[in-house]
Amino acid sequence: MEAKTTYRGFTNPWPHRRFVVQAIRGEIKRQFARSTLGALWLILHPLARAVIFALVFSEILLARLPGVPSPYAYTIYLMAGMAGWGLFSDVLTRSVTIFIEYAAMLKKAPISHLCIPAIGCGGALFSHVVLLVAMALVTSLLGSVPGLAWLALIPAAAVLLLLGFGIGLILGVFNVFKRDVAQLIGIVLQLWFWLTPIVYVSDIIPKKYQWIAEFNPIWPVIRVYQDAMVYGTYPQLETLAVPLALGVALSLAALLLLRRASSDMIDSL
Amino acid sequence: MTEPTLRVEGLAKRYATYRSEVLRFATWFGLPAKPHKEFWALQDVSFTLERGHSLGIIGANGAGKSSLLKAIAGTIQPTRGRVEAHGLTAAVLELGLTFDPELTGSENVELYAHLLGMEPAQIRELEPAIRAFAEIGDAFDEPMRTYSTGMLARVAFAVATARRPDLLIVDEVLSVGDGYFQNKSFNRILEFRAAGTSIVFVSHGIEGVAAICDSAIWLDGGKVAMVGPASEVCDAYRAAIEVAKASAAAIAQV
Repeated sequence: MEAKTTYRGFTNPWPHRRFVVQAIRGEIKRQFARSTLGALWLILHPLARAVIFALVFSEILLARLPGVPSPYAYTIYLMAGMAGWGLFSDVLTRSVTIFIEYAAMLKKAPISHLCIPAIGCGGALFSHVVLLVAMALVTSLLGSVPGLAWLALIPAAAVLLLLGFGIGLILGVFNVFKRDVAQLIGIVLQLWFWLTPIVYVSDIIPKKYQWIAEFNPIWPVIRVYQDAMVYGTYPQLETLAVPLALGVALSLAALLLLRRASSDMIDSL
Repeated sequence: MTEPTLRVEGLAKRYATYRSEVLRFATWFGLPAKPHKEFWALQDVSFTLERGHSLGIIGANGAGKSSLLKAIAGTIQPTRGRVEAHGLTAAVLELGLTFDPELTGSENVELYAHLLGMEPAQIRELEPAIRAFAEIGDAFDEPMRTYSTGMLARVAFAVATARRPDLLIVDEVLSVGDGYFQNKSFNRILEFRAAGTSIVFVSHGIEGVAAICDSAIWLDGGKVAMVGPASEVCDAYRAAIEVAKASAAAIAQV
């Protein structure tokens, strides 16, 4: 018998777009409800992290960015890499746990499951944009006014979003059934962070380990951030081709997986 | 327009557990994997609901009432069978529990109105009526974490029934409201029915079902134990409860 049902789990999310926007607003509001500094925390966390790293590495370990005379160059380099990485890891970690966070709603409201990761991505993207605006101010104060090269951040952010969404959604589906996935991904992301030239420059990687950086799909995208913010150079956008293709492929794979798994997922939440 | 609002045919819902979740993952890709345990929450449930009629679903805890409601509302996918609903469906499935506690009543209403597919202009138009129906005063503009369960239910019912749907699904949600609000909600349900809305109503309270439903289904262990006019099904169910009570008392005396 042809199965015809009212099941809404894997349907077009477009009719629910306004709900997604409102839910993102709710997420942002909830994050800062009852805090005095409110949305300022969005900026303070990543900036503080970059400043701490900068202090430790440039003042204590005397790291300097080769070829750039400004003493602040390393700080900006750190902030650039961390901003890019932050978007990727935020989208990824949110996507891994978001179905569990919205379990109550998924079980009771007939809603396309595709809306739920969209809420996570939207929230992460909002934080990222706020951070970039703050960084434009900070870098201006440090003597390097943002140029047109910053426009390259738009495609770069899109690629990071796709990669984080694809990987996060695949893992997020499995995480509903095996909660170890979310725990494990925390460790994997730390390792991945240190394998990406964010805190150090790629030149210092020994020859025999260069292939790790070459293989890392995040690295070319992070480099776009660093090129634009530190060197003000137009990045070679063709380096984004491979990460973009990978991001699209992973996102499509994630949607196919969600389609197969969505019914089981609701039953297990 | 003789098409029934709701048609359920051979509906079955299976919950499966596997020895390892890896086996479950394998089934997604078409690989054969036998479940370790199967639980059939619903088996071979069929009925139709005509326009403007109301159907009550009764049965003990775990009889499959919630699964049936979720399958009709579209939040779970049936394992077998079909569910066809025509027109606008609104479900009040313990909706209150999914409100965002940090958002105000008004903001949550907006969130849910979007979820129900309303346009912004329509929401602005309906908001005063929703606020008036919920009757919770200034609390409507306070974060929902300050609400009592009854207040949540009031807002949930008010927003879900702001527009007259073609099919209204009502869960136990009304049982948490006070007598006054329950009465008011019943009246709205009856008004909707008179205007042509079909209603699916689930309750432990047989009186509610007997009062507002034309027909009823008695679910037992996921199967339809009886279906027919509401008064007859409720009487039979009530009798079965008395028998169960008597035998429990007899066992207690032994």
